[in-house]
Amino acid sequence: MHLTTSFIHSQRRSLRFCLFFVACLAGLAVVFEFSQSFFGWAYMYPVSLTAVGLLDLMSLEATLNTAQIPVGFCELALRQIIYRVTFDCTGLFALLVFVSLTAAYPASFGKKGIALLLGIPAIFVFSSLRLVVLGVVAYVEPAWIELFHVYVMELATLGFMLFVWKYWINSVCVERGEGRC
Amino acid sequence: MLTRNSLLRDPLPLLIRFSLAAGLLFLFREEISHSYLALMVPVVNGIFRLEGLAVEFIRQRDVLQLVYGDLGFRFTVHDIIYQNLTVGVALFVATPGQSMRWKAKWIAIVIGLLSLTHLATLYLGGYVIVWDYVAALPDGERAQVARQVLEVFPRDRDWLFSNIFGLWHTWGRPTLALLVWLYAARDYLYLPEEGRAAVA
Repeated sequence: MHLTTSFIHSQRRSLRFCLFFVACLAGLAVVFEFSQSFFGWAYMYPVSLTAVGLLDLMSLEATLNTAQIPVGFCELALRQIIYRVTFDCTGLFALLVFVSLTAAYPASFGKKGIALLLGIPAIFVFSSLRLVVLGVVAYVEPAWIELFHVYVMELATLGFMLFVWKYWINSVCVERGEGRC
Repeated sequence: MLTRNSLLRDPLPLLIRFSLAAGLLFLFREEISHSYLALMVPVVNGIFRLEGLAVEFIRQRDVLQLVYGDLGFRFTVHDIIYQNLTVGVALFVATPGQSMRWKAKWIAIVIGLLSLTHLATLYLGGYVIVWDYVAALPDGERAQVARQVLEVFPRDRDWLFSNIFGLWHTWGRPTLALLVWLYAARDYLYLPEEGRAAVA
């Protein structure tokens, strides 16, 4: 008992951060589960639309069918291939993890605001590029799409999100004047 | 503020190392999958046997199948449950400024924790997959098959297991490895002393 108390006391800052992160993410998960239509129109739609625009710029004619957004997906047609875009494909969960990490990190509200202003557009752009990559893979080598969807782009999105977050942490740290930064 | 120096000091090495580690693990994904499932499958099959369920996972070359002996069903399932192992291992390998001993210790911890969740996922999968199959059947066939299934897999667990499975798949699975890393890498993440937190 004493050891447990002493452990919690000595680790309380990191434990508090981890607990706050889990609480924020759980809160966002509840919000998401009850307002998927909102996230569909506010996030999935613009990300998919940007991806379609980028694919068009690459002379790959793409169209977007948004009829199913209220039930959690839209359809991106790339020539003969119809690609079902779900929340998983749009990096939304990485975005929500980023928001939770930022909210939980001990920094001022102003700094957290900067993180969101920096991170949300960055992850938005990355997610649009992710869809473009998936669209191109679906077009060039359809057999690889599952691998890219489930593995490669998932890891790339997580890596990018952590990169942006760590970049922001260092800037917070620099402002604090900590020598380690 | 956001300086070039703060960008280059360690976020970029983290990203590069993470990409390299994940890429390397990706190259060996089939070998990792086979070896890992060779460890997991006998354990979860043992749990099914303890419950008296005629269900077992069978690995046939590159395919993982879930076989329901009494019901005569055989489903091919994903064999990529180890994906968050890649995330966990790559994160610890990529963390700059830590000793090999630190990395080895935390990689062992994260693999141990994730293995427990994988066992639970495989076990829950034994229930959820057969219910999903029944739910997807045409109306005419569903009633008869559902009767057979419900004799073995009680309906009262359907809602609970399906929801646990769904929530874990979406939220828990990708987060757990990250959470362990956040705690372990607290120095690297500059989680400040109490006084500094107040100043910040």
